[in-house]
Amino acid sequence: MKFKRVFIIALIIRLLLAPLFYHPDIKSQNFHFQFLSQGQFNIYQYIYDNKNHLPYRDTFNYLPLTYLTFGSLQTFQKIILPPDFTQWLNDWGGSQYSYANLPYFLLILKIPYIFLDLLIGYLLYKISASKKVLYFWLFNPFSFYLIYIVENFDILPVFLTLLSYYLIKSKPSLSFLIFGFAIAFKFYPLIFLPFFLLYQSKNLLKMIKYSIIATIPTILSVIPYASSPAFWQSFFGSGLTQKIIELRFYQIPVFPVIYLIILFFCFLSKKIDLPFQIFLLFLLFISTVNFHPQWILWFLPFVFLLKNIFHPRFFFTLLLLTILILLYVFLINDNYLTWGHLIPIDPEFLLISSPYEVIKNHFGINPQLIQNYVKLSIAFVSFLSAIIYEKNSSRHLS
Amino acid sequence: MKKTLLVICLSILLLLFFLVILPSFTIRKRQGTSLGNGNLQMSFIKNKPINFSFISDKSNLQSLSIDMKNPAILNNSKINFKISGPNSQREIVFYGNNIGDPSSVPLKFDSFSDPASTTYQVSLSTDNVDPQSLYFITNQDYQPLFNSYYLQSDLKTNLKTNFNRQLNLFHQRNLILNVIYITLIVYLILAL
Repeated sequence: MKFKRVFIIALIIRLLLAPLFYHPDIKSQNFHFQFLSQGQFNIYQYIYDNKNHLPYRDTFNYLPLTYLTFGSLQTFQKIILPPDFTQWLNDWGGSQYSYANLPYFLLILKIPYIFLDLLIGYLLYKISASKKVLYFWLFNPFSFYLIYIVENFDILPVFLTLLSYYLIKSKPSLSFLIFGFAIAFKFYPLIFLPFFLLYQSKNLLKMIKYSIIATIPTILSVIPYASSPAFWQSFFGSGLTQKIIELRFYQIPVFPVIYLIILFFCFLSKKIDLPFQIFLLFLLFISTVNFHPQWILWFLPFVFLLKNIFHPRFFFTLLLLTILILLYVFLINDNYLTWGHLIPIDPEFLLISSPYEVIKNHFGINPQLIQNYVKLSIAFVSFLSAIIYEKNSSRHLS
Repeated sequence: MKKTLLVICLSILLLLFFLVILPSFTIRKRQGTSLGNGNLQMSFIKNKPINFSFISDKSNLQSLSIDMKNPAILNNSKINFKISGPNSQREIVFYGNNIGDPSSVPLKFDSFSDPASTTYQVSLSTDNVDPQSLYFITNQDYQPLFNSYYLQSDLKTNLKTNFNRQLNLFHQRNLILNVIYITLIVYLILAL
């Protein structure tokens, strides 16, 4: 099939389905982004000062570059957004899901996601030189779920980290600058940074140089806010750091310890397979952290770059992992992660009991217990998939 | 041409599945008459039973949820709930520990077979004697906040209702965006 046709079909599917799914994050984030067009440069201080008058009172827990970029973007999007968009953004009452234009709000807000999603597909093709990888990215329901149903701006840092990987050998300084922009949008790429540095070069001076380059965008974008206590207060309200150290063994946090072990082995290896290293982080992450589904997207493009990804046995374990991850997510006590996604089709979907409620009320079983078993299964299948991948790779090399 | 037709058919099927078929199969109850705005608290005690009435906007009334508050969930008094239609009545007994701090208390009963526009009388009484331990959340006129829910009809009616609902919603949407959206999809399909 010709490229043009593939991208057009992918685009049609996205244009048809993207307006039908909702998650409250897209609304709460855009609620905050709207204040940029009202001249509020320091969103953190603004929310702190006006907390009692705002219809939505949660703090803005993201970095300044996120606010400035998506706030500016929203100003342009407002040109084509229906006139009742601002009213919807500020409506947090019972009627917030009854806006007939809701699917259009969502579609227009997701246009940048569609653009970045297709670009990721293109980059994956450029890196892997495999049409199969491209088709798999564009037409697999899991990435669609993470980008358009869980819908978060994480797709932007994800694109930037992938672009950074694409450029890392040919233009390392530019690559780390782009990586730095990804960090300035969201801190999570910091988890990948040591691996990117080792992959580029094990020369200490070079590693220091690229580390400095990677921190420049964050430092520059944070400086104007550094004197604002509201910024620090809001920013450290986010939960990832807490979640990473939540699982402990004899008071020792599991994730950081295994992370350091993976990093150590990466340092020792002669030839670093970066997508595999990130795949290991992914396995560690889903096995030891109580993750939110949107966080899975951070790793996903790198999973697509694994060698032998389509090897039947390995592919089966990936499929099994995907099913377990979805099962884990559907057992979270939050109807917005199940039926709530379908609010744009019909707000009455919210009246349907979530799997959590069904298990608890109809079967009298604690859903968290099942979730713990699912988590254990995720850890087991993760371990298995790492072994299968290693076996396949060594056979492939020999 | 054949491929274009196939894509058009698949697109329509995809939309029909999500917009009409899925809600028709999954949504079993719909919200109807409700009183939803207010944040006042009205004490609920033995010598002050609560009575109110409402006119249903749909047939097959199946449940009510009433906004109540049990601070720190300390009170476990007995509460009698009664709802009467023109031909029958339903009664439910529940307790203070079924009420959150605050929560919308769901009260499900055998559905009434009365048609839409029926008036229902609701009454709640309790053996609670502490005026500061159980409350109704009310509006400015001290009317308790509630939602009513109705059982969905048979599948055929649901399919028809959901199809008409989506058509109505489409008509209510921004006309310019409707035109742009459809033109864009058609253009992309033709460009295949």
